Amino acid sequence: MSSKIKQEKWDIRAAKKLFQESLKNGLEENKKQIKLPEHTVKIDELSRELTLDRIHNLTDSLIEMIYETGRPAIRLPSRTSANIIWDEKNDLLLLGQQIMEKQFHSLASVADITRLMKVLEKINELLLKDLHATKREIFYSAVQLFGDQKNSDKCIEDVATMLYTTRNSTHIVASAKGSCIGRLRIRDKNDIIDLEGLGSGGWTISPMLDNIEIIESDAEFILVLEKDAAMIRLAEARFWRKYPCIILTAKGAADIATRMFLRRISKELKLPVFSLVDSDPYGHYIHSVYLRGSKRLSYESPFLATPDIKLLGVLTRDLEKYKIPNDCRIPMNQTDIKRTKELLNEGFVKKNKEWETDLKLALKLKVKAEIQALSAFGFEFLTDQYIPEKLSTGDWI
Amino acid sequence: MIQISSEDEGRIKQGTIAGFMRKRGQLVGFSMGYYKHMQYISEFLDNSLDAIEDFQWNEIKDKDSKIQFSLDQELSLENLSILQEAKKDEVERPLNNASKFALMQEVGIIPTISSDTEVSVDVDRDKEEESGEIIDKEELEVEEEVKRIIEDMNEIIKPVEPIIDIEPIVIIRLRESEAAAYLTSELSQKNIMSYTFEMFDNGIGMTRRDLGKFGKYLASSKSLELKQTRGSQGFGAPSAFSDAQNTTGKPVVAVSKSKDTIYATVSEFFTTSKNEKRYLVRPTEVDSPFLHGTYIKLNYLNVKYIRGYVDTYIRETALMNPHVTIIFIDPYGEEWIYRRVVSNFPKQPKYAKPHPLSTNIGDLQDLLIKSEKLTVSAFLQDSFVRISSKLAREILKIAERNLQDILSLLILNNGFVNKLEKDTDTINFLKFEKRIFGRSTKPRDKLIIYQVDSEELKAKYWELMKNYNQYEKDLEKIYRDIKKHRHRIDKSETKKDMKKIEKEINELLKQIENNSQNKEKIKNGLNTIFNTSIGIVEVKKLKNRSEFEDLVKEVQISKVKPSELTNVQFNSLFHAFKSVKYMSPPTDTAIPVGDVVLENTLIKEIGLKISANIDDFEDPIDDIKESIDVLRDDIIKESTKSHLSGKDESLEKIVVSSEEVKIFNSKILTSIDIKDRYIEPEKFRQTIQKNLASAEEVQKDSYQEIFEFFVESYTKDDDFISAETRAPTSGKGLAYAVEAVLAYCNDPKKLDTPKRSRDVLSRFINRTPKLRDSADCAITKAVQSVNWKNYKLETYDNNLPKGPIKLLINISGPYVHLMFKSQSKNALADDEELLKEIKYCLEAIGRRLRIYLNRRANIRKIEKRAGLIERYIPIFVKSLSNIARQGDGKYKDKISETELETLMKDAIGVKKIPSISKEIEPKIKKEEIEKEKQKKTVVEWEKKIDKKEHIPKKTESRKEILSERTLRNWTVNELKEYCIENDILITKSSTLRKSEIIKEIQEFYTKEKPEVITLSEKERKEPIKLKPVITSVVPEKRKQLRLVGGEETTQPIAIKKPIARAPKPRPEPTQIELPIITTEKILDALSDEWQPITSLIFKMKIKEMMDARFLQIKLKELERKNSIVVSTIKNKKNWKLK
Repeated sequence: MSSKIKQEKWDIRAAKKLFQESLKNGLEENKKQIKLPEHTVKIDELSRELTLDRIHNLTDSLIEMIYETGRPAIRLPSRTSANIIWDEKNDLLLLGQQIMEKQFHSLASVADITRLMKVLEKINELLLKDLHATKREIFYSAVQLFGDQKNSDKCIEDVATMLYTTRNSTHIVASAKGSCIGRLRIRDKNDIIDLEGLGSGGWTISPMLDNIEIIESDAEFILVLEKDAAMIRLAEARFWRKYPCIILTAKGAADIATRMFLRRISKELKLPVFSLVDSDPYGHYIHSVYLRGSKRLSYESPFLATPDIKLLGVLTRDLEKYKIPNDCRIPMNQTDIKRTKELLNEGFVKKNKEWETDLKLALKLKVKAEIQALSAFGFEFLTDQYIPEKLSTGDWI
Repeated sequence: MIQISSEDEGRIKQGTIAGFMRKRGQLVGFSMGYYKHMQYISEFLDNSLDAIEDFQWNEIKDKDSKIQFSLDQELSLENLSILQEAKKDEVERPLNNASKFALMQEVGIIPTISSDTEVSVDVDRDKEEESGEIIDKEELEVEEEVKRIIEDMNEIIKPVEPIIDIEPIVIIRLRESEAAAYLTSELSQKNIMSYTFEMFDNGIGMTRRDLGKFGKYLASSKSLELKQTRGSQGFGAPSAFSDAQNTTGKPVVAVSKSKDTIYATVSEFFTTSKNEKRYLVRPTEVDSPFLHGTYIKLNYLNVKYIRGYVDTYIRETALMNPHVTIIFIDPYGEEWIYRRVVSNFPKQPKYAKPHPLSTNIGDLQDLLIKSEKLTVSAFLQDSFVRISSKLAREILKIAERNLQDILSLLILNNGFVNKLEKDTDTINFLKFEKRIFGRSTKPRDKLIIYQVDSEELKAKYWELMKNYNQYEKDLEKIYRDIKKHRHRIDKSETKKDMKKIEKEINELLKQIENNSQNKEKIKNGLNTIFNTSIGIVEVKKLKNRSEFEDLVKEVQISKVKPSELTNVQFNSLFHAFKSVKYMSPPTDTAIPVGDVVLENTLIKEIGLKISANIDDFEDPIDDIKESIDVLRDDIIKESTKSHLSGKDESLEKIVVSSEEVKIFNSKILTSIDIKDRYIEPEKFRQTIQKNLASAEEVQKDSYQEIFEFFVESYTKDDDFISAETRAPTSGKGLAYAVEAVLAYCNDPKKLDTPKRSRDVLSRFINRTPKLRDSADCAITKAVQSVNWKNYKLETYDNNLPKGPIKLLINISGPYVHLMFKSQSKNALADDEELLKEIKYCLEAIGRRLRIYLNRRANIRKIEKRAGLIERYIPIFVKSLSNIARQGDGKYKDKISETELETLMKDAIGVKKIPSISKEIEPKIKKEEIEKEKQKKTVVEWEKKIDKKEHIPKKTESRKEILSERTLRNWTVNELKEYCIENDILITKSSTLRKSEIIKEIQEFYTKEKPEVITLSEKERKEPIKLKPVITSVVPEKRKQLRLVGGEETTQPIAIKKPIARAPKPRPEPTQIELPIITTEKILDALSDEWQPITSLIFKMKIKEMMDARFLQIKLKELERKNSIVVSTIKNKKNWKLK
């Protein structure tokens, strides 16, 4: 797939510099532990046995309650937005210490507590048998009781907080949709996989990350893409051959497995991470999820977030800089404006002045654009010009 | 054909009311049809109820009355059955009286009497007695007849004999039989049956004289001054009699006895179109099983009886008259017993004089003619309400003013002068002067007629008179104008125009006022002119002297007797009567049934589930809140007693131990008298104490929460009842009170949503149900005008409310009959005021209903969710036990799913009990310190205080003073019991109303409060505790009654306590002199000769009716014991010794 467009190789010095820094930082970071602020709930990653212990302690206390009053209740950290705290120091979203009580004899929570119990029963089974199940499987174990998968999903998350552990420790996995390609070699149980030699499809990120072991990599950076379309473009161009890197995408919103995998490789390999998302509020939001975690799973953000991720593009200022034609720009609608404003209110955006300016600019121009807008200058523009140029000039946020 | 009668009767014949009404029974509801049955019942039932009330009210007035109905005892008629008794008798008597009579008629022994008996009556007119004529009969035959009548009557009375003088009771029996063919052949309708109607009431009864008038048209026991009664005109019963005779040709039987006679009077008669009676059995005295009352029996033809008319009427009557027991036996042989459910008799309504505004010209005329007053002024003041002497004078003044103009004779201060229009007429001045004339030698008033002679006087007169005449003319013009304006009002379309014209009319009316004032001025002028005797010449001989005399008489309306008013005088009087403004009539003449009575009656009738004791918890809560202080005070008191020295410091330190408080509080709790049968007292107490026991620190406010929870949970299934009685109002000269009651029932077995809209609403007027013409009635219209959807009720198409509800509306007032649309008294005419009153009344109830329905909807929702919780239990438990079993927790293998499930299920029921033991962390330290303190003090005092004695006494004294609210929640009987327990004197216990008793109790409190009630004092009081004062006669009599009633076990009435009338010790002078009627005395009085009861009464010197009555009962007993011999001579029992 050779092209007549100039095939010059950019010197991505800015990225390399970052790589050097992160390598250095990484060594230091390994020495110091993340200190969580006070008034937040501590979530642990637990082994199978410990999780089972916690489950049995909980059931014992429930049975005691029934023998005493006949009125069992479960207490768990509240996951309402009021109880989510942004830890400025670590740039993480964490759970506060607000506790809510799910009473069986309360009309409002009887269904919830019964569902929680069902999920707990299933988790117990999974842990005992050392198996993994997807959310969907849990839902289908008691369709009548859950009614809707939304309910079972919520319960699965609740159970994790209830046990003060991560979702991963409960052996319930999200169906992973992310894929990864690039200069990385891993072991999945007994299979060694070279992510460079998987054709243009790449490796589908496994939700059972506890079975994955990272062997080696000579990548200099990680590139996170919002969309599969961009992934195809980069894979076709064998981007990692030219610039040693690992490319991954969650194909839309970031799922847990993808985020967890990203965090793992970036931590273990001490690589800088860049994200390439659409120039619209949703794209920025996806970036923010990689950055410091989603609100829904805030309690797990220490295990999922990649605080060092840089927003490479597409930035609003790039639209002018690269003179993206007007027919490729899409005017913002009301919800876009609203979302942008919401983003601007977030603490982590306010902290990052460049990001704030870019969002304000978007709000001023009332314009958004997709990654594909860059194809207006030809399909290779993204791989041959845009990304390398930005990486070499350090044009990221 | 022209019939010329002899002498001067003329062609036009004078009919009688009786003759007219006999043929027009339909005017008062006696046309063939289902409603006719009801009409019979209603006429006599109304009369009976009036009679019973009359009796009771009369007795209540008499303070020493021993025979008034006492409504204190509980009445249970479970075993009562008139039918059962009747069946027993049936064996002995093969033919009942009616059938025998019918048989005799058909065979021809007794001539059948058709409806045109009038012809034969004319012949015998001379024979008439004061009360009517008598068909000659053989003595023996009469005796036989009387015997049969009495037997018939006894058939229905016997089962109730034990209570016949104690309980207000009405018995109605309707029997059906095939009508004789000759009677129905003329009637085109099919399915005509013959009915025998019998009714007994123990009302005031009639003396022989009254009975003679009974049954005649317009013979009414109610006077012209009306009070709030059911019947009033004297049309009902006579019309019923007429119809009975017209259809069957059979006579009417009436037996009646008033309390003042020894024997009852029996008569069997026809009424005639001459408004007289024709007796088959002349009024005959017989023995009677009751002290007072009336028995009526008659036969009539009608279409076949079906249910839904008479039974409804009686049921509704019973609803509004809960103070009377009503028993009805329908033609199908079913017994409907509506027992008395209240213990209060309604208050006697006051007599109401008519209000001028509601009086028409005819009424006034009638009243004037009947009046025996000497002056019109006195008549006006006496006959009408709201006419004072001042107002009467004003009316007369206006009337005279008019008269002067009409009669052309002006009244001056010292005489009269005629009013002239032409100059040529002679002016006459009339004057009364003292003169000696005729045979008398003393000067007397004589009318002297003068003629004006001097020109000067004439000129003066004419000067004034011209003006006067001018005013006269002006006045006429004004009147004409007013008439014109009135016409314009009729034609005007907009309200604005109308108002404008009304304004003009008012202006004109003012002019009239000015005009008459001007006229008065002229009269004053004339007064001064004719104050002299100069210029006038006496005319001695005048042809038309008598004319002048008449004129003078006529013009002075204030000096005429009311019964002698001339036409002219009457007209001007009526004009004046109507032109004066009156105050609206007083409202105390309208006596409503009362909301409490209405509610209670309907609760009992439908069997509503209403927990009435919501307020019962209020006092214990207050008590508990103060309990610590009370205990503390006690300890202080005790300590001061024992130590005597005032150790203030130690007193301050006293803290009551929480253990002690707990004991004390639970004592209070156990003293709660839970009257509601739906709350199981044991369970309730246990639950509360369980909750209290777990509490470390007793928090006062928590008690209230617990009580509230209980009230809430125990009343959640309650039905709804609410009554509203509006204050009496008076509009357009009529005073009336509107009241309504609405029941909402959750149990469809008790009360379901009626299919027909008319079954929802029951209309009553003066406690009488109105079943006909409901769509026409103002009450129905008012109900329809309410927006029921606002109050969460659906409606029928005609906008009557729909649902499991019953709505009763009663309108009471002395003049309600004037508000009816027609003579049949079924529908009220629309009146804006009335409609508004009813609407307000219903809206008040509606608001309460809305609260109730909202609350119920909430409870339903919660219950539904509670069911949801239960559904989750097995799932939850299964998951839980699965985990527990697979793990290695301490409950592994120990749990059973069913056990857990039941534990959780049980927890659903009591989920909301607020826990008292809420641990508040910061408090713990303080508590501990306090506890330590307590321990010290408790040790110090324990030896000195005897708790066991102490606490009960305290609770008792707390109970002593009850809030008014609690008292109000008690029934009258409970209040009375309380009074007896606490030595509170109440006079006339049987007649006192609830509020009055409460007042007495509260007065008692205020008297007692300053003293501290100690045990010793209580003890001292005990001996004074009153025994109910009962005459020696009463208890014995009661004992007898039981024996008469049959075996004591099957006694139909459970008289729970002896009747204790007037527990006030009062001297009874009559009591000492009264002969005590013992068996010995009776035996002494009896001899070997046959003696009627009258001679025994004479011999035993019995003066009181009650004693005579007792003698009668005693004799019966002796008779039964075979101690004496009895024989019936001329229908009267005679006795002699064996």
